[in-house]
Amino acid sequence: MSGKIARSGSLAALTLGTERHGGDPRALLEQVAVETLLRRAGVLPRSSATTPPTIAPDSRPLVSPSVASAVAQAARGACGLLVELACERIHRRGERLPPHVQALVLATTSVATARDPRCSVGGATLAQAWHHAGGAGFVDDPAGERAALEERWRDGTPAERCQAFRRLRALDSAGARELLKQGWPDEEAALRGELIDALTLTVEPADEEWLVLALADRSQVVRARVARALATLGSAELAERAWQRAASCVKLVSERTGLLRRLTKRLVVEPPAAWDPAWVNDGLVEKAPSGRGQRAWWLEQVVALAPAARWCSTFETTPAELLALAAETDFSRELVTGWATAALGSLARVDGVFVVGTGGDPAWARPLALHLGKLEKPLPVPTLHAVLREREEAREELVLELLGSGAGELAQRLPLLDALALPWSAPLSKYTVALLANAMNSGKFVHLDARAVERFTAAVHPDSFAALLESLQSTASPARSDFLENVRSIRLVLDQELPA
Amino acid sequence: MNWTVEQVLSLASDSSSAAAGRGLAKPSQWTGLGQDTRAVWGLCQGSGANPYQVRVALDGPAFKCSCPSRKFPCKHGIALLLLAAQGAVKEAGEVPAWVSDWLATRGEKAERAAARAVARESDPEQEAARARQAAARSERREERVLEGLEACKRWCEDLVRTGLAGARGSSGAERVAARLVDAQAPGVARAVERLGEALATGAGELGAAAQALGKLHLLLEAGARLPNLPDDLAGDVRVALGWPQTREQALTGEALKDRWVVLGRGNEELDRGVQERTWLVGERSGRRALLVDFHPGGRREGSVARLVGTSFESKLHFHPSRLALRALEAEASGTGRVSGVAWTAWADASVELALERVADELAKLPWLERHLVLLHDVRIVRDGEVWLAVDASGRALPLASPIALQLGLALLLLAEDQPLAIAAEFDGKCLTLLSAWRTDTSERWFDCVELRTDLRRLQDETRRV
Repeated sequence: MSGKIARSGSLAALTLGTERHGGDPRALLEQVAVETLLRRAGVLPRSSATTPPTIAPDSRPLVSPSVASAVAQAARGACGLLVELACERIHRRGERLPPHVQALVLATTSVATARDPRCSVGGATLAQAWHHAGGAGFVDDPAGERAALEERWRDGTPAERCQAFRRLRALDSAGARELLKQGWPDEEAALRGELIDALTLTVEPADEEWLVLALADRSQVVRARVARALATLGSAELAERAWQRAASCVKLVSERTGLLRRLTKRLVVEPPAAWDPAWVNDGLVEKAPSGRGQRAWWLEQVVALAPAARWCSTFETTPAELLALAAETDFSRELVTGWATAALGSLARVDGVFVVGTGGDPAWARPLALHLGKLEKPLPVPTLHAVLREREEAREELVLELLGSGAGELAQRLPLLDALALPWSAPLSKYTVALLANAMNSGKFVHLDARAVERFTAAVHPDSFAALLESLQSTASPARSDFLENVRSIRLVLDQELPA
Repeated sequence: MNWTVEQVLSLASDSSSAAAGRGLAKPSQWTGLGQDTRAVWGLCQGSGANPYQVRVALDGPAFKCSCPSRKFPCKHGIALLLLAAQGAVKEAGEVPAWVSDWLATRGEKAERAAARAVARESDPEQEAARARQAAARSERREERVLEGLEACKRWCEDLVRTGLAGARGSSGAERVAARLVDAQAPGVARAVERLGEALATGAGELGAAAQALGKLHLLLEAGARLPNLPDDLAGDVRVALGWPQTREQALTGEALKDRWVVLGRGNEELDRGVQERTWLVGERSGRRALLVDFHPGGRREGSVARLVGTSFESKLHFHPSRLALRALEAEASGTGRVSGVAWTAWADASVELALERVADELAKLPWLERHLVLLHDVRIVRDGEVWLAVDASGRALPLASPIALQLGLALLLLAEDQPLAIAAEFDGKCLTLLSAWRTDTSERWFDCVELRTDLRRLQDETRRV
């Protein structure tokens, strides 16, 4: 744009100044003024050879204007849960959002959420448009995605590499294993541990051979995780060794006791007396964390490696009975933690969320959840969630039982509700809202963070909504009551126009 | 009653009272609901002992509520109008006294004001006296402005003498601008500020500085010749220098009755509030118009937001100008959805034609900062980092960057495999999209400015978290 001025010489004169360049300042100003106007009036268009993107029209009908504006309001107010709820329902009805609302939704939820088939409001049209707009990670282009992932695997930060590995593993498990093998000895110990965790989530028999080799890792932490992976896999060799070791520590005794000579069962627990150097090869760690007894620590690891199902078959009993018997012993904590580790299968924190992988023993899930959930403290919520998510059918009933068990603070138990799908059923809503109201009425201060409030307001059944707002509002700050009003009006529209 | 829910919500002073209004907009919360042609009313039980008396006069609208809220309009007023918009308020045979009294008071006030105006106009002596006063004021102002322009001119000449390369920082542009504000020439002050900004960004931007200087000089020259210019041009120069455009002037100017389609709304944050520009096009005449509102402190008080995609039947009065664009609405009017979207009649079919129009506008009004560009049959494409609006012949104008990924996505989703029509503000380089429309169906368009604002806010929030 400055070309014309430069050619005419006026920019040079302006830059240097008339004192040095010569000329009359007034005349120069005049010239610049005229040139500026001419240039503005004579602005030329660009020419573009870019071919317009081909985007297949979306034939699904648009949602009603009131739903569209409610979803937009939810997205603006950062009520992510309501957005997800709405998207799921819209998808199920075979409708779609207007473009600008869809754009807002994508700005608030992650792309991962948007491509989740349950709330894939956009479908193929959205994927194409996203790609053409320059967005990443939305295209069905496995080869391209693989290449990008492998690049990130080579050059990324440790966190990026882990993420890339998880995705690569999902695309092609054998290929991912080969990638892992190639540079294995050169990886940092911390990353080796993370990668083994990632592998454990989707561990498969073909991994066994390599994992057995990896058990000889120089890092103790990595060895323990490899052993965990092998245990999850149910590696026959390791399982047998681990079971022999564990069975020698825990025995079930049946005897007739008391006046009535009733048959009673009792667990006799004898932790390992001495450390066996060979255990190192199975990933066991000799030195106990501070505050733990040395032998108790060994016991916990020994139990954790042994297949949980073997206890029930050998002792001819149920997990629930075993848990009850364990409570009578001096090593209750070690036994329960060990069993839980063995029975839950692989479990890892991915992007802040606990994910349940392969392995695990479904027969233990419910009794363990009930047992752990009713302990005074500590309440290992993430573990519980993982268990609860695993057991779809009886989840709601289980959560109700745990919530009402009265153990510990209510606020501590509320995160259990995260394990339930939205929205909650009418009985569950009624129950939880009553629980909340009771706790508040009894004068106890129930601290609910913003997330919990959002969860409640997005999840409860319409019939319980008024009662919920009443108890929330009694402690609400003005900012929060605005938020509640907002959520409420959105919920009203969604419940009316997109019934579940 | 042809209010839409969105319009009612836009009357709320902030999002929380909009939300609260929505919450209260259920017939179960109300008693004694009723409406006639002039007003809607109802009683709403609040936290006090007596229900609040809520009434809304439909000309305006004007709100009155007995609640103690400081917000205006309060949530009860919003809720009541929402109920009426949803058709939940029935016509009433009898108007309660607390409503009719209020309406009567309002009517009396309006009558008194009208009577005063009539009295003023019908008294030739007073009229003449006022005209003399106004002329004297204008003359005094002109003198001060001319003095200010003279000082500014000297500053420009000094700048040219020493050269832009030697300019340090903004070369005291702020001081000169402040003096121009004192001299009642805020239009020139803005031009000086822009030049100062270009100078302060440094050597790479000398082209921009030269342009800003060129614009400024043109304005200064025109200002100096003010006494000798023909009336219509002198009027335009005064506006460019910073004279306010008065309502009276517009009412004496050209008026046009049409159904006005709202094409876009642009906001600009100024020192003491928000300036809102609403771009319109006449459905029958194809005439373009610009409404400018100022909301002190950013609050919209009682004025109606014109939603993009709606239209309203009204008589607009244009401020006299060689390019009469800015207009005002003399009387309030109802609103509705767009009935016919005649893009081929209003908009240019090619970038070439749109630029020709820009050149025409500049010929009439060389100080124009923003042009309204209406194009149909264009495709929005991404070319690397730049987004373009490309016409059928492959000629293109760039969109102002940055374009958020999501805005681009929305445009592509709207278009699918069809061309779009767009309304945009053109600053001489880039298009800032106001709205985008599908012309093959009359149902689909969106407000780009609103989406951009929402996206920016969400981004800021995510960053804070």
